[in-house]
Amino acid sequence: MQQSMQGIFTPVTKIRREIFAQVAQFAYERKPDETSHEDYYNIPFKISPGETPQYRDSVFIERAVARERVRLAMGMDIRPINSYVDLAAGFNDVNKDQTIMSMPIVNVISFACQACPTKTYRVSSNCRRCIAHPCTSVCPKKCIEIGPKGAIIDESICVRCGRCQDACPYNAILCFDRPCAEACGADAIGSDELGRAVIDPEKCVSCGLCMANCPFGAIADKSEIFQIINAIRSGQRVVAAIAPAFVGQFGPLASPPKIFNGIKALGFADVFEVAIGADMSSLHEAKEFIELVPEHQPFLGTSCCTAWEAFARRVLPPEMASYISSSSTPMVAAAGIIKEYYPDARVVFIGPCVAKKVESLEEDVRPYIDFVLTFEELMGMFVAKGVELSEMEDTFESPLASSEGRNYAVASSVAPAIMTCIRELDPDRGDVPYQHADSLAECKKMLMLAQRGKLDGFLLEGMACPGGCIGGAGTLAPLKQSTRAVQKFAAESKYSSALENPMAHPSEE
Amino acid sequence: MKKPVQVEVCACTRCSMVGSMEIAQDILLLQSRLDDEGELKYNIELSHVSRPDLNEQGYKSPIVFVNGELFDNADSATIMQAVTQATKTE
Repeated sequence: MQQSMQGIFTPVTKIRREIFAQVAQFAYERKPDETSHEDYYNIPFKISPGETPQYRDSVFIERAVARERVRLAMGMDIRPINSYVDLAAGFNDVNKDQTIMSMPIVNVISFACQACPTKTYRVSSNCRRCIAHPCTSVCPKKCIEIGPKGAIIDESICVRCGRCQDACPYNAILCFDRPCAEACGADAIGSDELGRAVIDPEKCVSCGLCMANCPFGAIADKSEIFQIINAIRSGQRVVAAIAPAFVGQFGPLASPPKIFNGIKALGFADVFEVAIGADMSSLHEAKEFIELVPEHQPFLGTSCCTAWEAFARRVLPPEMASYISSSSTPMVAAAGIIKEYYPDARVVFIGPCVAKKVESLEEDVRPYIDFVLTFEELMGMFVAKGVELSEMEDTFESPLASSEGRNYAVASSVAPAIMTCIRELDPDRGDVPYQHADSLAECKKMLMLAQRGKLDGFLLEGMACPGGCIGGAGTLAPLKQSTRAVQKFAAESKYSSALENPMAHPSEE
Repeated sequence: MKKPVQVEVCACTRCSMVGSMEIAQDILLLQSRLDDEGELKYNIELSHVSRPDLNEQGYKSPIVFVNGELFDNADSATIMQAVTQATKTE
């Protein structure tokens, strides 16, 4: 397994965030009757100023890549590379105060892609040309011979099983894969005629991990920063629903109340924890499990992670796809509460997740969610607006979520939250077995076991991102740091579980 | 025990956006690695400050102070080097 770049700050991370901040600043400062696009054209020059390149061979390439990133951050499509299209083409179509989001959300900027080689095994200078050479013994295709300087792999025969690598006592055999493909658990990365990465829309679940793991910054997602700021500036009541992974994302001096007040300083009317929706989902899925397993179906898969849900429904045979819970995701459940408080609210889900942008386009989700923003995009808005989180007030009144609801952000915390509810609602059932998987590769293994009947009676928790939501493609903070922060905030809730939270079952109040 | 090296990492909004959290994490990691070295007892005192005023004075984020010396446009490599240098001279 290749090391993930997720959670490591790199120049690519910096470029991505600077573009969000610049687009947000443009949106905040643009006069409503402005017809010139001069400030917009200038954004790439702010990202790559001067004449000396910072990251690539040429400052012109840097700005060309930045231009496509700016278009995506504005919500536009990437331009074709082989014909002239103005940078501002389509500007009026995205200069709206409502969503204009369209598929594909995750895009490869083809000329930024370095056409990294697809999976291959190579022998390094670590090879000692040993007498045992177990690499040749274990190779099922017998495609390795020992040459005068060491082992030689015939790549035309190699089936890339990796057994030679496992067997080498000197770690002399290395596996190369393109990082985007390695990060993609849905096997959605292919190649075009020039060997550059192409995303298969039929397989992609828009988790965004390819984007977070591309070392050349060649993959980017569309954003709704411009439209959200337009909605705020047009005087609409825009309310934020912030996902449980938010704690610790905006620096050690930004406590949860300071973050909430910071969001209000951006022009949002109010802020709610999506963890309340997680409490509602826990209760709903517990009831679903009690009702359906094992009488009507052998197992139940959780539904909070959009990418996992989409992936599971594709991997499982059609007759088993319904074994994934039909419960609303915490995002939608929380938005339902917000709409009760403020029927005219435009709800913005703020989270770590790129796939939520796809979920927000679904017909049954659209009435609840107006926009989706990632933590990175929100941080860009804070910087653009000059919101200093450490100087915000440290108190904020809003409905509370339970500890278990707040912990939804961390892998292996969703199923236990649901099981707490099952135990209480059906005490005669005894302990329910559960299994969790984080990363789509692990999810696939779990689904294969479930398909073979090895997990009958189980509650299955799936999370597309390694570590859970705190490892999402739109996060800012390293995984360990986020885990600690989320768990500390969770422990501060006066409600232990969804059962104790009156917000989780309002109809019973 | 040697005199502690004071590392103050700016955690203002802009510095947090452009990597100061990661620098702080790398400092903690360095501390734990140095602790593991056993006989060499280094002591790094890490704290977070908020100095958005420095951006207004023209300093670039991320901003870090090592024993009071200001490093702007900082990255982990520069700060780790400054910290290890300070541990040798203290």
